[in-house]
Amino acid sequence: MISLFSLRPLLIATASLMVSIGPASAQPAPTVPPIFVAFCPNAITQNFPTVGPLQTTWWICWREVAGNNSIANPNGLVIGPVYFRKSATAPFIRVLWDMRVSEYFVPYHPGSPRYYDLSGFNFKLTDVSAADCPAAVGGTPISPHVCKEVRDRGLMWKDFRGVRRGEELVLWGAINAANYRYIQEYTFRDDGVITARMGATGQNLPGAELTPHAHNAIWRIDIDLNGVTNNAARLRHIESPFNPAGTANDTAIPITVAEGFTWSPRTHDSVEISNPVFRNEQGHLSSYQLIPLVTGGGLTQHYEAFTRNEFWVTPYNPAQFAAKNLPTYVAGLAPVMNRDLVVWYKGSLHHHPRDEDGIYGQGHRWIGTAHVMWTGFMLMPHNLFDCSPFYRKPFLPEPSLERCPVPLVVDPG
Amino acid sequence: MAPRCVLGSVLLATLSCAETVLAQAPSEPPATMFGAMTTEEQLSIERAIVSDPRVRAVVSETQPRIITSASELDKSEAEAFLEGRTTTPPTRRVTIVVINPQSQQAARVLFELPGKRILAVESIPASDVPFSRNDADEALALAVANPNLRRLIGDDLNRFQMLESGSEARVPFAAQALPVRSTDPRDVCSTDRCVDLIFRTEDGYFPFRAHVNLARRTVEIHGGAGGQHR
Repeated sequence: MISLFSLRPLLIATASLMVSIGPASAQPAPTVPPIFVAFCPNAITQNFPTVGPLQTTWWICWREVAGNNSIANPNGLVIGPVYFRKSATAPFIRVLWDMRVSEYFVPYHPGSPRYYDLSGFNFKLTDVSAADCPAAVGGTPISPHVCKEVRDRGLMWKDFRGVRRGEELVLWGAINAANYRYIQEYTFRDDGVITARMGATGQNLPGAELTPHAHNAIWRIDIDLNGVTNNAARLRHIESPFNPAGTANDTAIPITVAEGFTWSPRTHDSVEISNPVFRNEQGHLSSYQLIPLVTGGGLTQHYEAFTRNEFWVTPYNPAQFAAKNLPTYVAGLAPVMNRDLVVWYKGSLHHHPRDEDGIYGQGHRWIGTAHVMWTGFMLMPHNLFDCSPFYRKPFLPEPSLERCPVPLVVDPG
Repeated sequence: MAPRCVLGSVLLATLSCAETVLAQAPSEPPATMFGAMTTEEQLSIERAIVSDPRVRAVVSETQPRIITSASELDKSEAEAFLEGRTTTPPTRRVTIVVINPQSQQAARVLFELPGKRILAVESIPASDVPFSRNDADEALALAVANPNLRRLIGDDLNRFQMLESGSEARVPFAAQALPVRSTDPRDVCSTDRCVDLIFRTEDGYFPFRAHVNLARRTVEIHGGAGGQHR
């Protein structure tokens, strides 16, 4: 399905550029279409770069779910729909419909307790303040529970021509899970990359302050790349350290039916989502790749069947939000080719308590707090742009700004 | 600057008129598209639920406990709305769990809000029943009556109040609930509904948990031995 937002990109982009606010800055004003605002009162437009001629734009809908049944409809910060435009003259394409954390599963090493820290007691987002979200670092509290930050993200590229720094928009909130807080962070970069992270922080479990445990986050990602008809493939890097030729292969195995599979640090496993009719100007199939951002070198698995895979692909089903039921979601081997599909990813943190977490004080009370540990994943565009984004100016003169530096030779394959 | 704003706005508005799909909002924007349910909607759900014979066949209780999820939109209808193929707001649906507190028998009900009708009813295991504030209050009442816990906390035990989920209220005596589910078949919490309670004062958390089995109405104290980091 082709997005409606692709229908009149040039005209809308022109209008966007003409509607300016603020002083002499070239920053365009927010231009989310009224229909999108009607659908999503929290809609955000973010243009990049934030200063200078517009290149890429995000339309982001976000909302907070704070219900009483986190098994059926997980609470927290929900992202989607999300649209991205790769240049001022390109169409907006839909990237996401609904992305959220489905569960935080926290088993302790003795075998008990084993907490479901999102669905267990319908934990909700907690307050954010100016202290969480200071303007001095680009922060703006956009609701009592959600912070928006627009900030420098470090180097975007550096080569013989020069260097460029990048920017990003970050939305985050924090689930109050009694003694713990789980930061739900979603980042939208100028180059089309999306990252999702869990940050775990707070007081170690009363009565088990020194007991090692794992924090697993399972995200449910209803990805819609330029519409709902998508395909998924498992990407792997295959290389034997005993092969004297030193050769390696990358494989892409289409995922035809609902299934779960594991991640390996040796094979760089990832999942590629594509749309069969969505190609860039070079004629290459455009996709997004879900790439784990692993902290600590590993991902834990546990007795519970839903923790034994890092990736799952299921057909879209509005009744399927519970990570703990993933084995049943894939049991029927439902087809997922050329379908509206959902990708699930499990990231984990291994928390071995340390003195930095706290110390027993008077009355054996625990004094201290565990600082934030992070894990997550990246959704990286692959052949979405036609050439290196943000690479023209200042090396090539206008009007090459919105085009690739050399005429494109379309690959018929 | 002002003339540019006007010109741009006019152009955008003109485009909206030329093609309704992108920029023209419906005449009555559905402000509650993702919003919370109204009291009337909640009442209509409860009326429909308690009178439905399929639900009663599962929970066999005239006053079951009803847990309602946040509403979600029908995706295909939402897409049609966004693409301008319809100005009718997408249907909102909620999932309702109905539980018999005595027997723990439970049903999941899919309910359509605009039509106020039940779309599906199915029996579900206790593990798919979310814990509620009622469960937490019940657990706290059991804990407060437990002599072992009282020995550890003292008479201040009566002053603890259950914090709402998500609350950062700085109450001086806060109790919080952490539902527990076991995978070990030898552990009664693999079938029973169990919850750990933790207790916080201005000095921090007490170094133990009250482990409450709601089905058997028992309380055990877990932790408190202290220890050393490796």
